[in-house]
Amino acid sequence: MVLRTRRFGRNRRAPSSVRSIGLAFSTLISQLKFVGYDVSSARMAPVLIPAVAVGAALVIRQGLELVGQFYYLPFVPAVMATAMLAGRRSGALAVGLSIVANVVLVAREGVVDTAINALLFTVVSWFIAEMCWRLRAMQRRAETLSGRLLHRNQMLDAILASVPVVTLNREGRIRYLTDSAGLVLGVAADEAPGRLLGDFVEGFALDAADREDVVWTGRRPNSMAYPLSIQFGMMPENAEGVHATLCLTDLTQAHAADARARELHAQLNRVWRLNSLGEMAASLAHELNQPLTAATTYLHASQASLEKAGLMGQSACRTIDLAKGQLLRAGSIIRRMRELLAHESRSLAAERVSLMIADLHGVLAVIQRTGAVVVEIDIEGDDAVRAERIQLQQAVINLIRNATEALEGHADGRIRVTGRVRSEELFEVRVEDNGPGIAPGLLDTIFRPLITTKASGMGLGLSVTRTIVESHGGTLSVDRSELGGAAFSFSLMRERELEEA
Amino acid sequence: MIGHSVFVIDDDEAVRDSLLTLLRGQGYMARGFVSGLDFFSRLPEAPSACVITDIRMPDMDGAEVVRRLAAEKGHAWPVIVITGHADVPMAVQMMKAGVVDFIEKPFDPNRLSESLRGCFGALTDRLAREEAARRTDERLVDLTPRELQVFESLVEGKSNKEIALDLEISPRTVEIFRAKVMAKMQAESLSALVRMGLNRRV
Repeated sequence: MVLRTRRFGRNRRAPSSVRSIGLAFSTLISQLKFVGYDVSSARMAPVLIPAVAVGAALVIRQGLELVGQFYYLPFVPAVMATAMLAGRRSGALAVGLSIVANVVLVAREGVVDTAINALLFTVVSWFIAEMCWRLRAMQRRAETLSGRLLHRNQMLDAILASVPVVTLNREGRIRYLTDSAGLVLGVAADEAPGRLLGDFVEGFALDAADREDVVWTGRRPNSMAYPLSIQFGMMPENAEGVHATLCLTDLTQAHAADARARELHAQLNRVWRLNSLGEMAASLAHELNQPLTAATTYLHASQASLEKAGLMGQSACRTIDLAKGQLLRAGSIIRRMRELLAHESRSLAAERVSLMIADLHGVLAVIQRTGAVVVEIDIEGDDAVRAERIQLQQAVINLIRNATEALEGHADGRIRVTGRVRSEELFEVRVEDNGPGIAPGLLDTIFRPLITTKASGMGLGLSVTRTIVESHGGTLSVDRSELGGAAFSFSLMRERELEEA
Repeated sequence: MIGHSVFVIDDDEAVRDSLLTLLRGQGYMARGFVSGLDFFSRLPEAPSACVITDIRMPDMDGAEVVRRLAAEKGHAWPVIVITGHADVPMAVQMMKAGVVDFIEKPFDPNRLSESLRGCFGALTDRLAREEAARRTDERLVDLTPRELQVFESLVEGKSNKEIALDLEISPRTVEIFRAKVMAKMQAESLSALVRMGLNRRV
């Protein structure tokens, strides 16, 4: 009975409450319309979501009134929905709105009853909302993590695709290999698994594979042998079926570059020997020709005096003539020797300075390592010149060696090779260092052959270099470098047609 | 040949001294210099002289000596180059620069003597021609404008008749002018007169 009475009581009041809810909604909607675009914005959402959820729950509850009494229960989904869609403040707002709606709509027996029910609802719904928030946070983390994982996977794939990697089982059979490893071994990536690596690499054995210094010989199906280096990585025991990972490097190109550097080095040495021999001969010729000239002239002068002595002097004059003839013969022997060793007129061809110097990198690497110096190369502009390649390389290397020797004992020795266009016709090459420079008193003598300031050495380096530069139509000059040491520079004739060719 | 000046530039003491001995023995006034710089810093006073220079020397090389001499003294100071370091491009370069001779060390001293004789012979001829030209110029000052016209026409090789036509005077008058010109220029014959004119133009 009591139930019924209450129901009737409530029914009586229902129309007014429904009306008030409708009023509240229409106000809310008009407010929303008023703010327009803000409805969907993040600023409005924390208020809008609990308001709509609680409103919807209210409507459902009013509808359910026909079936029975539900009190706070219909508001629980509203709070849940809010928690799923928005943050803690919105959740608190939803709880608050639910309590307000309930207190307004349902008349309770007493304040205590109302308070206890409201408190219970708050606790229960907050607990559920908290669960929802946790769930959402976990979802978000899972998404980020899987995103990152995907990215790393892609990266790993990309790296693996470019690195020749092979994995082997205990028997040395290929389990897996990347495409680039397939290229190195000369086999398609999907045909190799299951085959022995020994089929592709001569004498391959797993127990010797971790020796880094061994250069293996690879053999491709077309039977072309190539040098191969293998980096070895042992897998932990639990990796299923995979015993080792190998990283392969085809050394063909590296070996070719090594061979080229060695060849160039040998060539430079040969040219150096010839050049220095020629320089010695020229210098010797010059030094010997002076006393020969003096002796011949003195003899001739004495002949003139003897002639005045008449008949007595005549036979002496003839003897002196013979002596003069021998001196002149010595001169012609020297001349012939020099002609033999002298550089034929250079065969100058179109060359590019940057390429000629780049070619020296192997030789330069050795100089940098042994001399503990840094060599900077800085060639700019149109560097096509007329030059004899090996001779010019010799000249540049000579100047760099010279600078290295000047830098001996220097803490941070630097050598700079610069190439610049100087005029329509000339391209200048400059080699400078940050060493002690050249003492002013020595400037006159440094280019003279067989004069050296060094404990070891013949004193031929600079004079050979000068001869080379002069045979290219230039002059070798020296001044002070802005780095602090000496700067040697020379000019070459520019080759203007190379560009069009 | 006696009294001609010869200057020897060579950094080698023995070469220098031997050459000076030889040249003085042959009657030249010879002086030696250690380098190009030494030579130019105490440049000897002489209207004409022959210079013998080495190429590879400290301070200033032979090529520079040749260039500077050509600029400062012209043809009055011919240069003979002697070198123990000869090559073809260098010889060509030197001959182009205007040296009279290029001799490789060691050399037969007779070769140098001949070269020097040739040098001074050419120099004497040249000086004589220059002197004659100077005298001709002095005499030309005395000619009247009309006489000068006749003189130039004669040097060009024109006959009396042609000159008469050109100047619009009678051949007889040309003959009178011609006699006056010959007297004033102190020329014994027509050919002497023509030589005077040609010498002046060189």
